Amino acid sequence: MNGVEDPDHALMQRIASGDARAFRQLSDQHLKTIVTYAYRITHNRAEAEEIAQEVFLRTWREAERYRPEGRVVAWLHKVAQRLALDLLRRRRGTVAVDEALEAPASDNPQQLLVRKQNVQGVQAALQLLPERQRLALVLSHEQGLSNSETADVLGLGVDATESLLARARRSLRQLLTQANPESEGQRTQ
Amino acid sequence: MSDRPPSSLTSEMSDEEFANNAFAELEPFAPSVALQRRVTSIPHDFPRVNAAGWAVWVSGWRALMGFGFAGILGVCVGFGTVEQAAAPANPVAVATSGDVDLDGMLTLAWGYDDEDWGEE
Repeated sequence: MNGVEDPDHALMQRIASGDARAFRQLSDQHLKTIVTYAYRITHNRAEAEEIAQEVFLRTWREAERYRPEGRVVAWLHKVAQRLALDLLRRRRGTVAVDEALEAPASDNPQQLLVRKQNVQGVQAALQLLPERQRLALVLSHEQGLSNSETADVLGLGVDATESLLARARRSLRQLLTQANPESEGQRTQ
Repeated sequence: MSDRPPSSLTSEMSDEEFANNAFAELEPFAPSVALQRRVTSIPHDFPRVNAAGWAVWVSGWRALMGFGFAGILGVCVGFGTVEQAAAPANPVAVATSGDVDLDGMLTLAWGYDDEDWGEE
């Protein structure tokens, strides 16, 4: 992903030289997406905000060490994901991160899913997915990252990510049609 | 939050379109005002010193320390020289004469005695 054209690279250079206005511009652009991504991992607003703050604090402090190997927004997602998974690891004790990535994030979202057919239904369906599938969907469909950027953030190859995304989309669709028989009816007609 | 079912999700869609529409159902997650304030104040709260800044700071500190040590040494030497001129000819003799002579000890140690300060 070398040589990616990204206007944020110039901002990062300015931030590296201590330009507070450039930092503000970058944080204005990406704070919302980063806090959303952190929330999709932690399911906790306060923790998501704490993670987002830490992401931008590190951006400010470590901008000099940033190497433009992709889009800045993908790098921000990577930092946020690392912090969020660290937090999950601490929260879950000895459970390995890979295990956590594959485990359903919610204890009992099935009943929620059956009851809800709207926004909460989508959220509940997402929570039913294995963490890695959910993150792939969020990065690709909500955060607007390309497949290669999603692969980079997740630490996977592009082919593996595309396969993961296909499985995740299929799972999401199944969960939502289960939760919405009307939609199921539409599908089978 | 809307109560409408995700009617935008239909059987004709591909899995990708379905996922896109499902995510379109989600409400945007707005960061709190407090978080926005905290983030925008990071440059103020955590002032950075970049490499050039460190270089200036270190060289400045070295210059200051160099001047400081040289200055302190210079002041001590200069002060001692001037005061020695007004001190007794042989303060060591005073200090080693057998009497405990604090004035003499002071003179030995610091190069001056009380008389230099106008005391009787």
